Amino acid sequence: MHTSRTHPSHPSPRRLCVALLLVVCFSGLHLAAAHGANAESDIRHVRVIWHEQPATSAVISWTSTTAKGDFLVRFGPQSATGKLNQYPSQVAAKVNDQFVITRSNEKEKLKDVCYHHAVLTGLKPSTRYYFTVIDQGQASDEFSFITAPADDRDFSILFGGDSKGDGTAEKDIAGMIREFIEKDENIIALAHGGDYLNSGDSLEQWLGALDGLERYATSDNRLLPIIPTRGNHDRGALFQQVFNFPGGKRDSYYTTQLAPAIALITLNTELSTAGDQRLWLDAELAKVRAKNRWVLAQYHRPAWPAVKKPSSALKDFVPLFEQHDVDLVLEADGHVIKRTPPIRDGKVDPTGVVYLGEGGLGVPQRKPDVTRWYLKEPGMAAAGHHIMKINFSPASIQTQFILLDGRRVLDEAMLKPRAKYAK
Amino acid sequence: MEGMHPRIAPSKPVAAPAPSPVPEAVIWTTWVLRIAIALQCVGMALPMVTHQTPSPLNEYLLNHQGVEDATAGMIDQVTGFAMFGIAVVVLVFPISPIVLLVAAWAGVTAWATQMNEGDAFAFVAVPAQAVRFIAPLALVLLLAWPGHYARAAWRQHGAMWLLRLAAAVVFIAHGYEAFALNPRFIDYILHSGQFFFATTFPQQTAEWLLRLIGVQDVILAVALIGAWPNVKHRRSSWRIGHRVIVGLVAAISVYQLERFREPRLFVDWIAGELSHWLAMPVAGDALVLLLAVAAGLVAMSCVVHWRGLIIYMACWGLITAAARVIDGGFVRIDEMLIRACNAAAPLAVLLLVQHFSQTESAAATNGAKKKRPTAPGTPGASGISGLPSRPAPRPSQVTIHSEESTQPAAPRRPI
Repeated sequence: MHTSRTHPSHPSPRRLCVALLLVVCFSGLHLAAAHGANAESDIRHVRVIWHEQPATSAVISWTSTTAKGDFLVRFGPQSATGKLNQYPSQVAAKVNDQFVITRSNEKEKLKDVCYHHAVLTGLKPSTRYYFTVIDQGQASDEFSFITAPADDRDFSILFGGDSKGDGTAEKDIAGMIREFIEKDENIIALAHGGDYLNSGDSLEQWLGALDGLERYATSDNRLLPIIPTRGNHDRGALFQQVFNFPGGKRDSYYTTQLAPAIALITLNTELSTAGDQRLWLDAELAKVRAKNRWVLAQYHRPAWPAVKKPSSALKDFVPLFEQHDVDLVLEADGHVIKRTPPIRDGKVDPTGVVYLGEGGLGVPQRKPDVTRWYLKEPGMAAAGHHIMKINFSPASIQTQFILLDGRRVLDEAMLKPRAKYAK
Repeated sequence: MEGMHPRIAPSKPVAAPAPSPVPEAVIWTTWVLRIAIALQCVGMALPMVTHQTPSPLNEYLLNHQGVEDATAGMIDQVTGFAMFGIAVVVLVFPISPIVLLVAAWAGVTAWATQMNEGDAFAFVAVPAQAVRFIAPLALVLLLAWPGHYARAAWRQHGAMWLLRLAAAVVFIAHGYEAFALNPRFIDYILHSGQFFFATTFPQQTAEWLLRLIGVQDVILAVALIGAWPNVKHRRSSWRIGHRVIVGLVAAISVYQLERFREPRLFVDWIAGELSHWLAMPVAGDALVLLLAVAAGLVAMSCVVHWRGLIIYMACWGLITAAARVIDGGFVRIDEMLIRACNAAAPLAVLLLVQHFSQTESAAATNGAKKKRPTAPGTPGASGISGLPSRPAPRPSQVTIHSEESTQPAAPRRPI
């Protein structure tokens, strides 16, 4: 009888089956682990955006890789880490779509990147809200933010522009902002003067910019709501998709009622400034000036620049600011620090408008042209990475330029309310 | 020399023939370009020297290459002062290498603007500024060496075609920007309305005008390239074929313009409005087709009236340059000066084309005169078959002209 013997160097069929089984099992485990890791990192760039009524509403936005499915935000005034059912409210994200990709070299690697926006309404003023984002059944970490006040209490916001940069300064600035908001709960928002990146058409750059904004979160995940302005580098549809603007002619100019007596008007110097926007600004200022103690405006390209030529804001916005007695105007774009004296009719006038700027959240800084009349004493101009802190109180607005270098206050100014509007 | 045949004995040395005179049109063209390029240099220099605004290269070095502000500023300062010097050299004693420096700086500036991506429609900065770096190249072609003019016809033709192409590219780029409603252009129109009529147009009116300007610019560009000023000397089938081709290219160009998102939205909006007014459906595609056909017809007409077309383009270049000053005041004079070539390039084309046209007319006339005596009395010599030909002139009356010159031939020297 012939007996077949397996050669010692060849595995037996049974051994082969066992080995194959093990391989399959390990592969499955590996895939599951990989999927789990992917699932964990799928929700990115959780951010809070303020548009018009931040005391009672906010937009929660995030990035993920799917546009279809169930996208929810569960939220409430109490923390409920890991217990989603304990949140008293939830709202579905109504805007979910893929980001547009216009650059051919980005089409392959970024084709499935999506944005989601959920609008939270009916919030209580001056309240810390905790929320968790649920994307296709996956839950994010818990985040929080503080709503704007509905009374005359003191609070602060930060202002800065031009956060595009080489990364180092931008990260350091993010660290400084994080420090400030960890120490001071009165800082409730960041008014961003625009230029988050170099090319607004590049999704890759936008994702990098959103990574940068993520760094502002505190160690306990408190987020600083952003009041966005469109900069000259933030062109195209991606800006609207990142910050939940509907687009069209009314793209990104609006009034944020920071408090019952404080209005911040955001303008868009990348649109026509002489047309519909100017008409809107005229009507809006007539409306808000009578109701507010403080009226501020922010936009990107400066009317009173420290480096470049004046933008069309000088011709189209400034006469309206002076006509309607705007108190403070925040500008960006120049990569310098500047504060003008109060200006009216092209000269220093105590009843005029004060202009501050111009962008230091990470961009390389320029040397300002200090020979310009509006930068001489009592105005000022300097260079340095910085953030501006604006403290509001019923009696005054205090502005501080804080340098990244040594966290030093470079310049401080105080504004009293105009007698006519100091209710 | 001894022993040499007396008939081939060396005579007095004959002087080299005098160079043909430089056509007046070429001298005028050179001056138009020199003045425009000098103004452009001043326009480029002013903001850098007065610290009004950093150059696009400065922005590129600072924001993309990590160059210190002080270094980038110094480059601006040095370039600014150099540009003033170059402006003087171009006017007084143009030297080709110096003129090439202007082309190089204008080219680098356009490229840096595109790379910086900080201006509206920065992605078309290179074509939109093409005439700024191509006009100096055309001038170099017309200059043989310091203080002299090039006489070679190919150089004159080359300069003319460079300028034509550059002007056409600039008009197409600006046409696209206008059609896509560049916000700055809207403001130019609105501010011009305030300046001239002390009234503010609605933004919608400015947008309508811009759409029309956009189509106009594309038609002008196509017609400029297609214009064949001496076409009247060709056979009628050539003329018709040429006009049809230009018309088709203009129509297709306008049709392609519509493929961009904003123009298409605009056409669809018009279709919607028309549907509402006429109470019948109006398809956006049909409107686009209508617009393209209209553009083609206008372009065909432009080819015939080419002088008017080129003068209009020069005026339009001047108006759009002046719009910067009207919009932003005298502080923006540099932006007007830097666009001097937008008006000068069509003018230079006009001068050169006139010159070529006249030369070719003269040559055609001479050619006809030359042909007549070759077949005296034969049918068809008049150019129209069936008609009796004119009697041929007697040999003593025949004068032979060179193609280029209308001067009578010099009497033959005895050898």
